[in-house]
Amino acid sequence: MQRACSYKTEYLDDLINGLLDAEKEAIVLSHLENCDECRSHYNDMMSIRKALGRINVKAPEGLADDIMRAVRESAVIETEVKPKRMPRPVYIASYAVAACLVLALGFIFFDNLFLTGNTMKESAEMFANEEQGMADDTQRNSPGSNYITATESEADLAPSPVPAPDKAFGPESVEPGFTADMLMDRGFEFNTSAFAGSNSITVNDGGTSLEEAYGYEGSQDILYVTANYNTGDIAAILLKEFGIRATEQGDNYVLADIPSETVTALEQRLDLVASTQISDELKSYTIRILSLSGE
Amino acid sequence: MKRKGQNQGAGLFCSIGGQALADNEKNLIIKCQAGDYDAFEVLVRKYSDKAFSVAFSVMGNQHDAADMTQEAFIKVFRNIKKFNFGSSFGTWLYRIVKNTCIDELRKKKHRNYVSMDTGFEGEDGEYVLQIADESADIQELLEREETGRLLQEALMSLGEKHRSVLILADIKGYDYLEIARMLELPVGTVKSRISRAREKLAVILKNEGTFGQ
Repeated sequence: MQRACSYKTEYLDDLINGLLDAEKEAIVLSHLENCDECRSHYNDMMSIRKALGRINVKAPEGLADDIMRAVRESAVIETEVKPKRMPRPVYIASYAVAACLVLALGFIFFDNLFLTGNTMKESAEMFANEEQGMADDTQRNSPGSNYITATESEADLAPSPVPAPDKAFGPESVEPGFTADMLMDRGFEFNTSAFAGSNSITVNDGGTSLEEAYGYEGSQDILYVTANYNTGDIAAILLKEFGIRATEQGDNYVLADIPSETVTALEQRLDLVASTQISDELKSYTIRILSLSGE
Repeated sequence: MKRKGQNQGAGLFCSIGGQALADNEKNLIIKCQAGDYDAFEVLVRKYSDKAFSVAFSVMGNQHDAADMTQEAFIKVFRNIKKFNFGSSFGTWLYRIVKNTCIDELRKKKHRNYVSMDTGFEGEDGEYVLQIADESADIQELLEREETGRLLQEALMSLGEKHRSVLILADIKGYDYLEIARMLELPVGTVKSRISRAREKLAVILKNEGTFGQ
């Protein structure tokens, strides 16, 4: 495979973003005259920048007024119709329950698919409904269980139902292999967060951020997914694979003076951490997805 | 085993980044926690534009972005008593905006629906639909005046994480540092994502010169 010109990998982005000093800029511009690859890339990227720069996006006029009106109205509604404290949204507290559901769903799925000849979509709908019924039964039959069905009146505080996978879901959808990206697509946060300028990063999983973001206490469903995923694991990986010793500060590990390449490498590594550390929990989480997808 | 989930890293951002909450903002928040609407309005007026930018960067259209900004502020007001000054108010707010948007995108994806109703507005008004063109020369395409819809569709076909940084950088004009703060990402990640996003956009525009069919 042909290697990219070293100027392209090292300097073009900075040139495009106007981050080179005058001396370097002159050198790179001179290089562009003699390098077709770099010149073409530069022209493409600059065209995109220019085109995007022509797009004019402003907040609608009166947005702040609209927000305040909505805030006041929502507060009035809340006061007038104080919602009865309803059960917490769907949490699967028991892996045993989850495991049973996995097996039951798998059975129902294949039963529907192969024995009755239903389409994938029909099967999915059927076992989503079936599963909801099973969940209700499970709840009724297990007074001590934390499995609680979500209610519409609490929908604003509960995380939204996570859509079912695009393809019809079956037992294969609960296999391990979820990545950090897939989780983040579902609204989860766990990332390396750097504070610009300090060249330092703080590793966190985001349990609190979701709690803060959605305003419900405990984030139990999130914690189930992230139960085995903690900063200690990340710190261990950092030490083992990058030779970086993280400093513990409260509940966090602070990493100072991390080169940006390492941040990128760590970010990529986190995908692996996520898929290996939390796949078991995701099995139960997937059940939660299924249980809500039939709405 | 150390369990994460409480008092997370955001609390360290202030000290690491050398940012201290301004006293007046802290006072405003304390008033908001006591239910003071006027104090909240000050915060809304201060932050609504940037919150909208974050929302727009995720949603990709103005109508949805405005809705999500509004929804996020409602959540903020409802939950402001839980704000413990562990991070800056802005960081907390932008996170809520981003999560609200992601939640909405998830719902839209479930409905197989992505809003294209509003479109982008250029200097000369709203862009119109791009006519199919098999030549797909990116520079030529982008120099035309009617490329807004083409760009919008290409942007929407990028993943959220690439779209958001690109919009904030190239459309809204924020610098790396600001974007890193708004999206709580490492600066290096912002930088690499912007480059990658532009490259992806170029590939999309080249391959999909027939957008709008």
